[in-house]
Amino acid sequence: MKKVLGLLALVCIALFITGCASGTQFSSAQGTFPPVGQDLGRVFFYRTSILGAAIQPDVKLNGEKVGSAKPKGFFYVDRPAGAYKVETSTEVTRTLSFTLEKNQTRYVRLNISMGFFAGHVYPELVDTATAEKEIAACKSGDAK
Amino acid sequence: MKLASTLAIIGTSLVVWAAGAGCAFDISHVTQLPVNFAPETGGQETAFILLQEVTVKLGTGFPTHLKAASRWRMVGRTEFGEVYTSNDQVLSVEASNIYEAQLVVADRNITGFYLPVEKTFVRASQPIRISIQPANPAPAQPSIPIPAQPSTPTPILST
Repeated sequence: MKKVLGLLALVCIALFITGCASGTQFSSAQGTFPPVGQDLGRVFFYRTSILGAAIQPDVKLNGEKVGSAKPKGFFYVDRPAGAYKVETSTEVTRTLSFTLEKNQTRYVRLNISMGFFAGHVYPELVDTATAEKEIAACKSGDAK
Repeated sequence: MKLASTLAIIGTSLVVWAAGAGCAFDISHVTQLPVNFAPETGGQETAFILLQEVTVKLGTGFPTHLKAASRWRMVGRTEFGEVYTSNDQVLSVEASNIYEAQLVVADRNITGFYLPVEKTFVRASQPIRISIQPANPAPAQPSIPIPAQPSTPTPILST
């Protein structure tokens, strides 16, 4: 019985580790990001929580998949100024709408909350000062 | 008798599931009203500093907080009041979904929020009198200036 429990624990740990983002840490990669193009703004997406690590829904921006919500992961996209809607779907769909200006950087945190059968991932707009602290330890994740 | 109790358990479970699913799937909505927004074209732009923290309730269970000492710059007008935005905080209205918002003020009372993407108005549960100090309007700024480079394709960082 102990062996079975131990094996189960190992499987859980393996699943947990492989489910997290494993690229370059934001704080190390920060200086290497290419400059944003003219007339574009940049949107960073990040997830700090490792709770519900198995729940990694697609992240859609105006209906287009731009990445997935990996625990401890981040990614970014550059887009023209305008109105945007972020969408994440698990057993429910959660959306965030926001505007993006030229040369503006916006941060979207992908939060996790309790659901009925599975956790919900919901996008939230975060101010720059808070986001820069939170995203520092995240690693480049799965974009598109 | 056994069948009846089994059916009762199944029925109760379904009711509990339905109730739970109702809560989990659709917690609350913001009621959005149509609105006419006229952008501020300059010349009469005003700004103020909020002297105290303010909590605005919308009846969604997710109040919106405004920071003390935050600076607000007028960006337009609606029939519900003047519309202000701030570089000092992210302003959003939250229910089941989240919407970026701008503050609507009429006669020093917060009347609600303008949603710039949806182009609608969300009314506060009740108007809130605010203490403000007039300020010179600061120019609109992006949160972080990024050096511009012409004709860069949209980059996406991948693993």
